[in-house]
Amino acid sequence: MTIKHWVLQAVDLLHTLKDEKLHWQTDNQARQLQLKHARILAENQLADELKKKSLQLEHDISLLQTQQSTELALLKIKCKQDIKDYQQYLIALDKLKDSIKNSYKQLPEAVAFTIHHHAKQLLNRMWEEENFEDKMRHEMQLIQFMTTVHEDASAMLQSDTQDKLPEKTLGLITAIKLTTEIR
Amino acid sequence: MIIRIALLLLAGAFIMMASADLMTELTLPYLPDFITQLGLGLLLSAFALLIIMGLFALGTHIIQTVMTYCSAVQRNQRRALFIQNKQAQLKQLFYYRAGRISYVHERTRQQLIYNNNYQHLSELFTAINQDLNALKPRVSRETLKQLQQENRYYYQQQDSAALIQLQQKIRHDY
Repeated sequence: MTIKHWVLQAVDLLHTLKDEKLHWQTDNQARQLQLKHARILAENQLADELKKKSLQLEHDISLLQTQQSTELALLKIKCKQDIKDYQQYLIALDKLKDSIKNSYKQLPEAVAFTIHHHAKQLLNRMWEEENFEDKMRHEMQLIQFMTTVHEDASAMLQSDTQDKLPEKTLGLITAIKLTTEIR
Repeated sequence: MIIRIALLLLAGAFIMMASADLMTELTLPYLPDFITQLGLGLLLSAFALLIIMGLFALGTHIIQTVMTYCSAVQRNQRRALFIQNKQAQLKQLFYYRAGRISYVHERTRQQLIYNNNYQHLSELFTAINQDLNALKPRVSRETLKQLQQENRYYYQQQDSAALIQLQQKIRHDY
């Protein structure tokens, strides 16, 4: 009798629990549906946002590609021009050497070589310098040096003596070397 | 719910086993064997149910994961990440390309310097050779040969300072 009573009580408890569960579901059905909708909406919104972001990124990439190809093309042109300029400078220095050799007929090749070599050093220093002010300073030195060589050559062509050395140019080389050593 | 059934089956199995033990103690014939068999059957069905349930849960989880992986959100997220990576790669590639152009440019300039140096060293070498030819009647054969060798050696070594010194030496000493 008692066992039957317990079993009936247990069945009653089970039914009560089921009833409560049903009640809870009925009460909260609207909210559950609302939550489900909200979740779907949020997911759709996120998917749309991500799609927009992807499209924006693709657009950015195409812009970046265009920008990069333009920059690379400009860099190539700049480098080509740089090489062309450097070649022109080398030709100018070769001509400078020829002019000093033509003016000073008895000038040893070693002295002409030294003058040319020094001019080339000044050119390279100017070319490799990254600081603008220093670059300008080296350019001024090179121009001054080339002017001095031309002055020496012109002076020699106008004078009668034949066995002199380009003293001003050699003096300038010594002065520049001393300045560089002191620095 | 299924877990509850499985647990009930397990509990039933243990109760059967316990009652079978009890009946053996009470020396009841036949019944303990039958009850033990029944208990074992219940135990096996409980484990089988648990395993089936586990497999089912695993399958459900796999399907869920695959569906999440293929969902619009995840797909778009992966695409956005892919494009971001591509952008980063492009930036890095640009850096390397610019570096390569600068490197080739610098190499070309160095080649120009080398060619120019070579040309002027050749001129100096020829001039020294001419000086040495002019010295021929005034110096001994051995000295001339040694000076010519020095000239050739310094030229091969591209040693401009030594060539300059050599010409100065020839001009002053002989």
